Amino acid sequence: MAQPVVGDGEQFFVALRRQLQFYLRTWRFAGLLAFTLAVSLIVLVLEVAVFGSGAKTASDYLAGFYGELAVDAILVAALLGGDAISMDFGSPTGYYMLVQPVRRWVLLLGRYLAAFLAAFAIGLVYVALGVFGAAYFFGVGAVPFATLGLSVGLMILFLLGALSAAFSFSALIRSPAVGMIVSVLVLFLGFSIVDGVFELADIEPWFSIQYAGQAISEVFSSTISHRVVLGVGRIRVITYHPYPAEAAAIMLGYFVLFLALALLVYDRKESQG
Amino acid sequence: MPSIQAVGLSKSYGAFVALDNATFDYDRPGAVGYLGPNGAGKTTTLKLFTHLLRPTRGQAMINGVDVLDDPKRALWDVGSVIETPEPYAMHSVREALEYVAELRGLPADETRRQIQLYNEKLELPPLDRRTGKLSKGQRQRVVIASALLAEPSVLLLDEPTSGLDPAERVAVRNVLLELKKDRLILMSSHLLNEVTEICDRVIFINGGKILLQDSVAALSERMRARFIDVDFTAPVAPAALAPLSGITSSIQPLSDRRYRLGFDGSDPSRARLLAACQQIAPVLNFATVGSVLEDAYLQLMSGPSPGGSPPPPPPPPA
Repeated sequence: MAQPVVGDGEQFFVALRRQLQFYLRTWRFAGLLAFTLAVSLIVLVLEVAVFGSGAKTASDYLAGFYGELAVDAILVAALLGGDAISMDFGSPTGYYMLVQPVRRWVLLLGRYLAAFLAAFAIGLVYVALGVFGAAYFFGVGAVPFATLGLSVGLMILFLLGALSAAFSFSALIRSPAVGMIVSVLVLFLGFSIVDGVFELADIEPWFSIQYAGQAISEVFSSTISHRVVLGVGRIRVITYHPYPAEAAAIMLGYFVLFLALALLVYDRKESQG
Repeated sequence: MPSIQAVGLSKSYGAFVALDNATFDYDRPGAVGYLGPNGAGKTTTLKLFTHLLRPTRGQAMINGVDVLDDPKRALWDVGSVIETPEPYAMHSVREALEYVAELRGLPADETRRQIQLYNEKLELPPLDRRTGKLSKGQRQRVVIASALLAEPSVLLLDEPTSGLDPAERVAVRNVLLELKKDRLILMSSHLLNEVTEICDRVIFINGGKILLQDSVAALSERMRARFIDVDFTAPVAPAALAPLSGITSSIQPLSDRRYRLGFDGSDPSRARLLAACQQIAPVLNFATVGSVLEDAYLQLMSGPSPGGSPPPPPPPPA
């Protein structure tokens, strides 16, 4: 008959391993990895073969190369996390998993960490190609590894925050496909528009994870100007740039608040299909 | 302590009452059939027992543990198939089964042994095939195997043979017949003959209300079939059936050799009818029409007074 009850920790690692196995086999993961590889390789090849780096230092180079890392990371997070919860309530998969004797928060955290590891693997490809480019143009010794560590640390926080947001969207939306689309629209397009509007009004968009994501590349700048005003006469364009600590705080806030929301909704949600 | 127990279990969606004050308890071993038309509340009940839904009122208890209070401990000794579950499409059959076994703490060698066992008993599809590439029947067999892997003492099955072909149904039925010897099975089904073969007890539900709970044996006693079809080896004129008039309540010709005879359902009357028929002409076939569960089902789903007066005769086929 039944085995002794397995602890939550052991079940968490089972869920993590099996969910990671699932994520790594999806077309989504393969597509995102191919997209990231293709974009970063094209940039790298064009720089090496045609245009040159255009940067004076390895730090400048990495600031430029990682300029779109946050955009890539937000797409990855939205597409990997956008159906994480709705797949259990908008598809028959939930009837296989949710009837098992495992606490829902254990399943969700296993799935969350699996999605993070899959997303981080894609992000690391981007990071690695950037380091390769910096080493090619300026030599390995010139690569600012300490700053790189800070940048990767911010990327980790950014992925955690963006995935939490995507998970919570998927908790509120029944259809897995719609959950992914909403995650992409809100995290990618929505925040871009809102950030722009707020900056035009000279208000710092401190609530936006995409705003915080700028710090991933801007940490390579020697100085960070928090508020930059460009323009002549009455025409002014104002941009805000987060300090690393501020960016980390925003990302951490997203991570904690949205993951708590996702856990709460997942625990209470019913399979009414 | 009952294996499963519903205490005033209710589920409402606004004004709509999906399950109304269901109360029952059953202990193992045995099999309980849960019968009712679509939308009667069967799946709602099973979902409340598997923590897929939360009750509006009342309790669903498994082995003495309230499912709402501690779903992990309540479901630890339960295998279930609710609706039409699908494992992750990217997992192979073996991986889908291993995932469940690992969550339930089965050692690796025991998992291999159990997968092999149910691979033979249920004729599972190739174990390395992705579950996303399986037919509905293949996937259903994998899901049933996943519910049985950890040898739980309670099985909650929602139309478990749905989507299976006749041979697959027989395989599943045989497994359930074996399992019910030392476990409790609560299964909903539309297939009354399947319930008759597997279950010892039945619950009838309609409109969210439990109408009747009884053993199949007691139902058989109360609801005897009241029609018999008799086939003679040669044509028999209706006038030749006059000797049956004192025993039958009605005689309906179905062909020149076949008649449907109404009677009071008792065994002595049946014996007298058979003897009388054999005096008229050699009898090729002598069989009751319909089944006990079918009669009970038809009566309960159409009438307002369950379990009271004897059931009306089933309508003759067109």
